[in-house]
Amino acid sequence: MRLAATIPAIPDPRPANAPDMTGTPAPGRLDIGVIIPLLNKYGGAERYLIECLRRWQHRHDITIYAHSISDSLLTEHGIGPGVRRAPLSNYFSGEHAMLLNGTLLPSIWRGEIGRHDVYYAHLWPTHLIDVDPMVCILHEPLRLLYDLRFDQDFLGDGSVVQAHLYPKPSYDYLAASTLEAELRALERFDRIGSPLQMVANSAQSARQLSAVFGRTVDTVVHPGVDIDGFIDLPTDTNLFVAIGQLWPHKRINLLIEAVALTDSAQLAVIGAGPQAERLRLMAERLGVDDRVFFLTDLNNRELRLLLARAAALLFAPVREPFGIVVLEGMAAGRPIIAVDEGGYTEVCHPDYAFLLPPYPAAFAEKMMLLQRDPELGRRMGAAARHAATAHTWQHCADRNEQLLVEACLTAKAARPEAARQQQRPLVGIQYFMWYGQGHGEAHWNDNPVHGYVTEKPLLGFYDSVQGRTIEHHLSTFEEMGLDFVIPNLHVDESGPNRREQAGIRNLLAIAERRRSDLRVAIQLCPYGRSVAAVNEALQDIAAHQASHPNYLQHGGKPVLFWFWSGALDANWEFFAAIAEHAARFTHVALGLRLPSGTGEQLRTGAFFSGFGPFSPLELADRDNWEKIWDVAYRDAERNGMTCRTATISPGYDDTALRDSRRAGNAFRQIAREDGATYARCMSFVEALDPPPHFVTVSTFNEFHENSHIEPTLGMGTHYVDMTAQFTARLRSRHGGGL
Amino acid sequence: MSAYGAVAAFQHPDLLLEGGGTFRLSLSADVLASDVSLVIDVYDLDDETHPRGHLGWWKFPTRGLGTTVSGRITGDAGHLDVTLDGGELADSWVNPEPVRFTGLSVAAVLRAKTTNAIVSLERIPAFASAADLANFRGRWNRDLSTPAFALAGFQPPAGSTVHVVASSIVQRDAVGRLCLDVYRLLRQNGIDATLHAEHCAPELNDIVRHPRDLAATVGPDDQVLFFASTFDPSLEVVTGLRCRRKIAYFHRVTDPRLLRVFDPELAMTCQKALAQTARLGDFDRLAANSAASVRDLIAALGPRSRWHADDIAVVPPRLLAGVPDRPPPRSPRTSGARFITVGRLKSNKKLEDVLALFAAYLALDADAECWIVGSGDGKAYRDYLDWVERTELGIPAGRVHWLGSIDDDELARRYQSADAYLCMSEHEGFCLPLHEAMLHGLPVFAYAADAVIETLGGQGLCFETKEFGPAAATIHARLGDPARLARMVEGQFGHAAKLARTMDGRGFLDLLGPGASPGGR
Repeated sequence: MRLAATIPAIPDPRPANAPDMTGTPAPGRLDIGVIIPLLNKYGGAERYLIECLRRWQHRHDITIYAHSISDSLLTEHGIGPGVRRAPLSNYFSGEHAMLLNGTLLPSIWRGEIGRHDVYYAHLWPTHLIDVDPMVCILHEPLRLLYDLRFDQDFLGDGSVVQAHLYPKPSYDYLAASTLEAELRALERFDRIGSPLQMVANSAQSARQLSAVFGRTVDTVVHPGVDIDGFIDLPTDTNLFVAIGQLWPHKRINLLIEAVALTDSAQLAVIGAGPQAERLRLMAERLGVDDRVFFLTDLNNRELRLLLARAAALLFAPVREPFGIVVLEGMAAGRPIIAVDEGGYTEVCHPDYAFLLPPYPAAFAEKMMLLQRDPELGRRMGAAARHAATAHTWQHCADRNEQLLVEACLTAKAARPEAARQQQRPLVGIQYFMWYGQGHGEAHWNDNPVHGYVTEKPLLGFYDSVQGRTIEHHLSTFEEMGLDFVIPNLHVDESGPNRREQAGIRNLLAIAERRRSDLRVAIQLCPYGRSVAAVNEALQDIAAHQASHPNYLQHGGKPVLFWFWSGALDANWEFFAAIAEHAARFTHVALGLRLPSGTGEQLRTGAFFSGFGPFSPLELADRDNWEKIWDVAYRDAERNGMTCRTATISPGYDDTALRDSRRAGNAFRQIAREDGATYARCMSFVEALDPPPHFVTVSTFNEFHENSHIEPTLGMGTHYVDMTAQFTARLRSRHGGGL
Repeated sequence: MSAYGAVAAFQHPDLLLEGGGTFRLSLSADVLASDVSLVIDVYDLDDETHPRGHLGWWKFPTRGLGTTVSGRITGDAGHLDVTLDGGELADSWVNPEPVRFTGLSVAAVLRAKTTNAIVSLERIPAFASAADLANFRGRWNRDLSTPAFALAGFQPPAGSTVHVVASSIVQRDAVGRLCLDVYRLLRQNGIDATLHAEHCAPELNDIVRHPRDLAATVGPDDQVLFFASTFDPSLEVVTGLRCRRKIAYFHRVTDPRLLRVFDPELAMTCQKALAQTARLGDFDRLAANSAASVRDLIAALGPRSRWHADDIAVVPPRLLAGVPDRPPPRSPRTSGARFITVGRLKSNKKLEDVLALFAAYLALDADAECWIVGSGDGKAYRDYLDWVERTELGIPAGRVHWLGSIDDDELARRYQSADAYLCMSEHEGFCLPLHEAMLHGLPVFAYAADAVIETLGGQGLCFETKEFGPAAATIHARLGDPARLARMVEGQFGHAAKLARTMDGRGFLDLLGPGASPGGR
């Protein structure tokens, strides 16, 4: 067997709903939003996160939010494509960038982050992102503000300060004259971050975080290490290894000076950073540039090969929050020579670690001791490897997962209604948010082909996206006793309709803000065959709406309705291309055709869990309505669909539209008969056995086809009232509650 | 300060202990202005490891010394002492254990006092007797008059010299061997020539001079032939010389990433060499060992360079005295195939992949053997290969034979008795062993690195990926198909023989001759 440069993903031995190993009841599959500013290098925090993700990826839905994500880094470490990646805005640069990055940027990121069951955040300033529930591992307070505040480099004549806002990979340059003011402002803002759960990676970090944030941080989860897969090679008594980013506080300069105090020690410095050139120059000036090697971009196997041969791992950073590389050195069976400060000292023991004051001579002495006495090195290495077995990534990942589960349960306890089970048919309504700002604008008689309307809503020619419109409609929906709303999202070759997307975002936000019980389930309306456009819509819904507390769920998944014209029937390339993004939804078709006998598989495979009519009055002549509706209802079930769906509609009339494609339709005008048509639909639904899971009303406001029930000048509130009575009857018969 | 700064240089190429062990050193003017110490460091010539082969070191302050200093090495029974005329011993370490030796490596080292860094280092061999020394010098054939290669079709101006310059000249290294053969080619044609290198094999230090002497010895009618294969501080000196013509021959620089784990020092040197390559654009003529190297060179010269690929001559990096008519006859085996691979044990050769391919082959032919010819000074890579062979791949003992460095006759015997040549190298300039294997009638199976493809000239069998299972099955099938194997070997030999006929030195003579310049536009 070859030790691959790429680490395989860890298969999940546990079923999705099994209790976890910690005894905490598992809520099943979690939708986790992971937030980290950058995930493009293999530092300590990134490693901590990656090792957790490797172990969680098969039993949770995970989306990583970061300004920059290295796909190759994730692939190399076994993170599969099932873990979604979503971009965050870049850091600010230029004047006052540091202040903006610590104040405005987290707020911008908040708007870019979708809805998830729980958020798992790493590194500053993610604690300032206002999402809930959040488990946050800062790893360290912003050291620029606290313990390294007076360690910044002044450049040139001293008027410019070079400051490092970790984890940003480059320096910020600040005017010395305003430095203290910026730091004070940043510090005041920094302390307002208050995630549900703050976790430290060492007791030292916990104490620092407690002191900074004025709250007890007593949850400590040490990082782990892979104890398998290390390579056994003879030790090169001249070779010492240091791993870390090349920042001043990593004190690589101390190690180079130590090398210069030895006769033959070589130092492999593995890492990159802005100090690289300065350190190279230092090695040259000390005459050890032929013994100090700077190595970057090593793959995992190369790193292990170097560690396997090293006489010891050297580590000298200033108060490192933890220092995973020490554990890695231990697991590789290497003695540790390190400064006696930092979180890693909590896992070090004199049997295998020299913990020293930060003096080059002290390091040089121990390096030469190990060079002279290889047997001592061997004994220390064996002890180190044994000690490392107590610190596994599995334990770290399990403990973090337990914290996420607890955070989720805590949040759910605060929203008891979310746990209620469906006991009766849920009634939803087709909702069109495509109307522009007044008569003559989009869909308000803007064209005779498909924009013509013959009635005037009581609300006037409203703007669908405006908050006051949505507030009014939500009130109407609530008064009707509806359970959910189906905003339509039209997708053509150019992508999803941006206006409707904006309206849907507002709809959800307003529903949440007014603590409405109403749920939302989007209906995708694909026009054309652009897979990319549909995938774009699916990704956006998954990222920003599907996990919203007001989004409709069924069978543990968010519900996605499809306006199904049949144009994409048997288009298997289409189904294959959207499969990845579609996998997280329960799909229900509302079709212009009936489900196909027992042969629906030949048209849409097993894609849909439910299939009902969008416009039931157009399916047959008046005499055969119940018969055809019943066929539709039963055929869906016969095709193995588990989500029973029925539709009611008050009437239909599109004869005012001058659309040639509608010209040959058989049933373009179905009279409302003062509500009798609508009542007939309702009666059919109320008699269904078994009862449907979903009843959809076609429509609330499709004025072009006159299928609307929204109050108008002509009809008043008649159909709204009928709908309210209908939902009341359903509640009476089947019981309440979702 | 001079270009070479503070230097302590021996005034003689060797030292005889029976003659009193006296040595003389020239100290450059910079020595007296520098804060350095002079250290005489002495090792067993055949075992330069500490402490086993280390006889000791003696440190002297340079303050008060003149530009020439004399000293003496005395001792017996495995112990030595070193004294310096007018120099006061500041510190020393003498091996308490006796070190038996035939010859010594005596180094004059200048070390910075503050940092203890090495500022300059020069070695000479030392022997007890003149007979031992002569025997040592005879390791390289010094008959320079017998014609071995092509005859020159030009006569350079009287009194002019061709100066061959390389970073290192040792016999067992391809670049060093080429330099020595070119030197032989020139001398057999009556063309005056010198050799210069920063480092050379100790048996050659009487004919290979240090490049610091170039400025003083190169005249206006002279030519310089510079072999660029790694970082060479003398490149700066060469580009500054005023002479008739400067020619650079580019061997290609190994990708440092392929070396950094097992030989970070060499990787760093290669990194510096890559940064230095653009300076070759200042030469009057350019040549390279392959079209692949030409592409690298053009890239390094940059888009604004006056050089175009067509202006750079491709000259094979080997001189051969003759070409065989046909490959030696061989009878293919049906099982127990014997594979051979030849080259320095360096990580860019990817010998771990040869082992992995061979391990896959063992699943098809349990009696197969793999012969690995070559040595390297890197213990780390050798340790790793051991681990790969035994632990990671679990290859049974006795299947892989590490033959180390072998002489040319033994190598020819191995080529003759092997069944196939394997090459998994990912970076080559030319890859001479492939050519040798083809001339010996060995089927070649190789990873498709660009220069490898070029040297094979469309012959052999190249794998575009390192999927060892399928590759092993392909090799097994080919070795079991005598008709196709014969066609493969015939095609390889035809190409190799054609290439070999261009290796008589004519290419180098063309570079040095008065003909149409292949130089830049």
